[in-house]
Amino acid sequence: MSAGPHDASVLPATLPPSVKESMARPRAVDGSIINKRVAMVDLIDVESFRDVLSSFADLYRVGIKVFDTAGNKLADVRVGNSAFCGYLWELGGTRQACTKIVTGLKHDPFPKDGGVDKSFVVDCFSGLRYVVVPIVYEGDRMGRMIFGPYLPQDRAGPSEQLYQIDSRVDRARAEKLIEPVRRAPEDVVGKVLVQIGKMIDVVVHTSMRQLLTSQMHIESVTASYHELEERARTLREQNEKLKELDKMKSNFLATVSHELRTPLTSVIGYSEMLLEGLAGTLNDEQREYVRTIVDKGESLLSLITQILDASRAESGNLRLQVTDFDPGPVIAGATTSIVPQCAKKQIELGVNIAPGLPYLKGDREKIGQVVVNLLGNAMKFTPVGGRIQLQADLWTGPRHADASADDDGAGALFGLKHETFVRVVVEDTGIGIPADKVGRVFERFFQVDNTSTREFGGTGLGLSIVKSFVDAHKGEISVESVVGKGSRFTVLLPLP
Amino acid sequence: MQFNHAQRELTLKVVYYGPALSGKTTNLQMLHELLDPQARGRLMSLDTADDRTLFFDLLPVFFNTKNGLKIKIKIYTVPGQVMHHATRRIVLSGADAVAFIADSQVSEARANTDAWKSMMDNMRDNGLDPKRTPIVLQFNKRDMPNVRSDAEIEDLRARSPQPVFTAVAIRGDGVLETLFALLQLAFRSISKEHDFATKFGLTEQEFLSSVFKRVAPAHANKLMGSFDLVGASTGGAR
Repeated sequence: MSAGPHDASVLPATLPPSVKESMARPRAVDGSIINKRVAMVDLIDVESFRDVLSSFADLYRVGIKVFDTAGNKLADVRVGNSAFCGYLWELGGTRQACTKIVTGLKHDPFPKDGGVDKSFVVDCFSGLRYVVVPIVYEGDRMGRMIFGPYLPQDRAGPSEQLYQIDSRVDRARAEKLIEPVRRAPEDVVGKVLVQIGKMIDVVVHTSMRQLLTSQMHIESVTASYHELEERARTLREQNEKLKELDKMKSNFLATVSHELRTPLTSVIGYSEMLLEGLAGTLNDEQREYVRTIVDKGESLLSLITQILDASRAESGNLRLQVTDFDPGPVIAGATTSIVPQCAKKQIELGVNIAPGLPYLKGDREKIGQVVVNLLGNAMKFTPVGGRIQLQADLWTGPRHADASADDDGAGALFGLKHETFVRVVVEDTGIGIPADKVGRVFERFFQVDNTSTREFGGTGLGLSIVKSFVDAHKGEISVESVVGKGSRFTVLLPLP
Repeated sequence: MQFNHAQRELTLKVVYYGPALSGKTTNLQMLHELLDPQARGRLMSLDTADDRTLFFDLLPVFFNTKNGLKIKIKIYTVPGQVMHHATRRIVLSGADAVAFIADSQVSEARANTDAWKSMMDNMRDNGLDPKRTPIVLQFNKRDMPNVRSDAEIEDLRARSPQPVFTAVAIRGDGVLETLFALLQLAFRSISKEHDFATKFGLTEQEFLSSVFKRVAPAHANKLMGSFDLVGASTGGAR
C-alpha cells in the first residue's frame, strides 16, 4: 500500500504532536479518503483516548503506552513505577540498559504467526515485565500498545541482574521503591489485554466510521459543487451565444426593413402620381384600385417602419435627434393624427394638456411617436362608443418601479427619491389586460391574445417601441389595467 | 488494485452497483454472514435514519495466503438513490471489478437501465474502461412475483458479454457465486496486467481456492467444483 501524504511516517518525529496532527490530516484533493490508508493519529481523538486508557490503567494499576506505526506517542500513562525507574535512570549503567529496553519496546518487530503479528513479552533487567501488543484493524497494523511494567507474580523483588549492571544500586532502596509496582499473575494480564484490545478496536472502528462519514460528506458536496459550477458555466456561455445571435437577428431585421422601405416608397409615390392624373385620367374603377394600392402600401410601410424602429432599439442603434422642445404642441399634434379614426369608431377623445409645460430635452419626433402609438393602441382595443382620455401635466413623485408594492414597504420606510416629470396619461375604456399578462405587454412581439383567430391585428411591436423610446429618454412607462374596464398607461419624462 | 511489494500485500476493490433497493446491501449482509469471521471485518454501513444507504457499505475481507501474501478485498456498495450521484462516482473510483445488482421485477426495467447507464458514465469519468473492467450481472429478487422469466434471463445470458447470475440475496442464494465470479474476473484482469504467476507463483486456481477456503470454508468445495463459473454463465464471447 502506498504511503499517502497523510501518513505521519514521513514527518520528523521531533515535531510536537499538535503540529504533526494538523499536517497529517487526510485531504480529499488527491483521491478519495476511501482509497487511502488512515494513520491512527488522524483517526482517534488523542485527548479522549488518553483519558480512557488512563482510567483503565488506574483500574488495573499498570501503565499503558500507545504508539502509532510512525512512532508517534498517542498515550503514556504511568502507574507505580515512576520512583523505581527514576532511581535507575540516575545511574550510568542502568540508564544505558533502560534506554535499550525502551527502544526495543517501541521499535522491535512483532513475531509473526501465519503472517499475522503476535504480541511479545519483554523482561527488563530490573525484574519488571512488559507485554507489547499489536493494534490491528481489519488486517492493517495501526500501532502498538505497551502494557507495563508489572512485576510477575512469581518474582519476589528486583532481579539479581540489576545489581550486576551497576554496582552502585542500593538493594534496600531498590526493594523499597519497587513496592508500589503491581504484582500480576499472567492469566490476569492476559484477560486485561483482551479487554483493552477490544476497547481499542471499538474506538478505532467508531472513529473510522466517523472519519469516513464526514470525509464522504465533504467529498460528495465538493464534487456536486464542481458539477453545478460546470453546468452554470455552460449555461452562461450558451446565454452569451444566444444574446449574440439575437443581436445579429435584430441587425438583420433593421437592414432588411430599410431595404424594403425604399422600393415601397417608390410604389406609393408612383401610385399617388397615377391618382393625381399625371399619367392621364383614370376612370372611377381604376382610381378605386389605385387608392387601395396606396392605402395598403402605407399600412405596409408603417409596419416596416415599426419593425425597423424596434430592431434598431434592440440592436442598440437607436439614434435620438436631441433638441430642446416644448412638449405641449408635440403632444397636441400627435393627438390630431387619430381624430379621424376616433370619429369613424364613434370613440370620444378627451385631451387635456396643462398649459405652460416646461421644455424637454430629447427627440421630439420620437416623443410624438410615443403618444401616437399609445393612442393607436387604445383605439384598437376600445369598442365602438368607448372613450379615450389623454392627460398631460407636470408631476412630482417617485418612479413607479420604485414605488410599486413589492418592495416590502422599503420605499415607505427609507424614503424614495422624488423627481419632477412631464407626465402623459392615456386612459381607455377598452378590454383591459389580464393581471398575469400586464407585466409582459412591453415585450417585443408579445400579444395578449396570440391565438390565430385573434380579433385585433398588429405586429406586437407598438408598445415595445414606445418603451424603448421612453427608456432612451431616461423616462418610465407603466400600465394599470382592469379586465373589461380599461387600461391606463402612464409615461413619465424627466425634466433636463 | 494496490500492491505493496515490500509488505507483499495486495488490496482489491470491488464495488456493488445498481438501482435503489435492488439488494446491494443485502448481498453484503449475506456475505458478512457467510464469510469466516476470522477473515472479515465488521460490515460498516454509512446510512441515514431512514435506513437507506447514504454513502456506502463496506465489508473488508483480509487473510494471508500460504506463501505469505497478504490479500485484502474491500467490498463496497454505492447508494442507489438518484441524488447520490457524486458519491457513487467517488466510491467507484479505482474499482478492480464491479457487480451490477439488477432488480428482476419487470416494473424495475427503467431503474435498471438508468443505473446501468450511470454506472458506465461513472466508470468512464473515473478512467475505467467498461470494456476492460470486469463486470458481473446479478438478477436479484428471483422469488418475487412479476419478475423477468427464467427463459428471458437464459436468453440474456446467452447474449451477454458479462457473466449473468440469478439470486435471492435475502436467502443467500447466488450471493457467493456472484462474488466468486467477480474475484475470478478481477484476478484474470489484474494478473494479465501484472503477471502474478511469474512474480508470486500465484495461479487463478490457487488464488480463488485460497480466497474461498479462507473466507467461506463450508462453501469452498462446491464453488471450486463448479470452477469455471464465469464460463458457465456467459454465452457471448468476451
